[in-house]
Amino acid sequence: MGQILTFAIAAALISYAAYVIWKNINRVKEGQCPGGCGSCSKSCGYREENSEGGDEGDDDL
Amino acid sequence: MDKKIKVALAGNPNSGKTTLFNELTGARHYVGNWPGVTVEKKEGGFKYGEENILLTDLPGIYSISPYTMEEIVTRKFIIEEKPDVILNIVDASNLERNLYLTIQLIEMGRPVVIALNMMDIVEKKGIGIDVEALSKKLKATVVPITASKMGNKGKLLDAVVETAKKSDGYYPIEVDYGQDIENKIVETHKLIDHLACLGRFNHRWLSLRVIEEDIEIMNLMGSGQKAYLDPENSHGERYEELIVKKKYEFINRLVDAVVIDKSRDKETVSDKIDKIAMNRYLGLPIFILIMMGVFAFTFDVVGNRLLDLVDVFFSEILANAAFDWLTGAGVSEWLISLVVEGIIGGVGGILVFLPNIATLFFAISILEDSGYMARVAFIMDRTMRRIGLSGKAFIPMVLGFGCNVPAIMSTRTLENKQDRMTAILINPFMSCSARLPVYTLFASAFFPRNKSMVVFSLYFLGIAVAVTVAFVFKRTFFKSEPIPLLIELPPYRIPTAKGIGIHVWERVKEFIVKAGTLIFAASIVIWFLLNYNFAGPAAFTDSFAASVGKFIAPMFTPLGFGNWRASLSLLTGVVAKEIIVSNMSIAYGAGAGSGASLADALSASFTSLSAYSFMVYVLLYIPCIGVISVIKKETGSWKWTGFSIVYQMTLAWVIAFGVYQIGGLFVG
Repeated sequence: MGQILTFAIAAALISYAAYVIWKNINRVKEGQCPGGCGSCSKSCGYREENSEGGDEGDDDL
Repeated sequence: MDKKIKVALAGNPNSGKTTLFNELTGARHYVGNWPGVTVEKKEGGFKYGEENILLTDLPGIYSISPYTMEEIVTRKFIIEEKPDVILNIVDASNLERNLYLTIQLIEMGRPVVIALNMMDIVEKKGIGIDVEALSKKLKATVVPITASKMGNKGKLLDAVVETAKKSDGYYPIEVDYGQDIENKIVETHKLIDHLACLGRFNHRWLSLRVIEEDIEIMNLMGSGQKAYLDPENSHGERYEELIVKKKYEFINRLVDAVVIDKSRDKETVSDKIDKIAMNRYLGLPIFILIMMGVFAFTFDVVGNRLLDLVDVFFSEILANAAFDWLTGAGVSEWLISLVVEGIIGGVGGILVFLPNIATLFFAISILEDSGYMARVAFIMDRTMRRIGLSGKAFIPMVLGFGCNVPAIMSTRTLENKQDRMTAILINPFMSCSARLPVYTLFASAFFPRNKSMVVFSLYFLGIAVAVTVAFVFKRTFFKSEPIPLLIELPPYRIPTAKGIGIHVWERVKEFIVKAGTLIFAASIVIWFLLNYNFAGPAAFTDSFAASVGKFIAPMFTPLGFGNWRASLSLLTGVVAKEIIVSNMSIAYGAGAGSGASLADALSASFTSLSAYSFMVYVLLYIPCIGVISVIKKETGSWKWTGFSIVYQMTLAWVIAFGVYQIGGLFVG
């Protein structure tokens, strides 16, 4: 019983950690801060409203 | 008559310009793009009596200084197209602010007709405007209108046609700028008079623009002529600021003479507060005192008392309950260690700082909602302009106290790219809330009597480093003229409990979500790295994590914290700064259920001086991965992103080294 419970809890914890890491890698790729904080979601709205993002910036400035 | 009367429609944003344009042109307008810019202009032709009128709707602006694209477009049109009449729409309910542009338009030397809009709102407020007196004082026809109803359309167009056809010339009003500036105007006029290329400008306006260091006009001048120009008078006052001041003095006298409103004479509560809070000499010291008060409130009065309660909940109640339940269920020892020491230790180690974060943002929300924070940008404008940035650049810096990611995104509001790049690269020095748990932990452990002042000193150091770096950048990589700050200050008001509640809850929620996701996952990873090596289960000192920590630790020895646990925590802090504390909770074995507090465990590895050096390093070193990502997005450049990482790492090392080594001379 103890071993089954150990396996179940460990599997759940590791799966959750892997999911969080994968999700946060995607968040960072999109230019948001890791952790899913609200201020970044608001910033995403800001990003959409303002077409003047820096993606077209140049290295020679 | 074939000749069209060219009319330029100019005014502040939201003054009712588009409504008036549509009312005058009907459905005959078309939209066209200006070459090379994204700002749109609208043109519409219509017939009024025998006259053909071509109306051009220019972008909404507050002034005609060449700082924004809208201002440049408007100015270029007036100078190059030379409209027969400028139809200036003025929001009568906001007369002072709107008249600033009016004066600038009149000074440009083209005939101006003023459409005094929103008269219905003004009348509802019980305010009267002596239109005739205003017209006389501005030497321009003023027609009161309500653009949405267009009652005086005929009168307005009559005035436009009459002004356009005036054959006896146009003599605009001249604002008296005082002897000092008037002499300077004459002197400058002589200096630039021979320049044929400048012949298309009104000379007085041109001289004023040169004195105000208008970058576009200055570019037309030779370096020899520029050398004669002195931006300051003999009292060290900047001409540019004096001219703005004189213009507003003129406008205030004008408004006093034409507005019939008894309530205007009364000084409002906001005016009384601003007399002190925004005083030229007292403004900055008051801001510093207020921030010191905020930190004292956060750490000495409320935060740390609540911290102890939360700490007891995690390290004793929850940890013991989890330990008892898992042991009773027969779960393996390693999983008990993972849950109790790894997860509850790591996540709980961070959540204990929730009261401090909530208290800090409670205090900051009061400052924001009361209207004081908007004034801070204004107070900082003078300092910021000395370093070459506008006061507007201070707003992203203040936002950086919360999180650097949205703060860096908000730099998009800055007008020129040089200012924006500088503001992006200095923003990570603003201490975000993720760094607060590190300061709270170390300040409470090593400076229990002065913890609020220690934390305040770190925030202050962050601002000082940001300002110094901006000063250097603005004189090397990102040279450009600072842009004057023009913002509307809201009246002071008493913050509502609901407003503050929402602000604080947003921050608390962010912190809890981050603890429940990223910190949770990071704690599991760190626990594994601390408990295993290639051979399987291992003691902390022989683990993967220890190997990495020991490898980089020598780099931090000159800074006073060359131990592997501290070095490792700095490395994991790159993912998110809070992880520094959760990492330490696990690595020092002082997490939940251990019976020992992390503060006690730290005192074996740090002295007060090395603890302060560590906090300085955490404040200044490489930002978290989210910030790095947003710097790449916003600068669009790997070169500047890489530069940002390298120079911050270097600067952090040098300053922490200075703190530890120089501090060592005094502490011994």
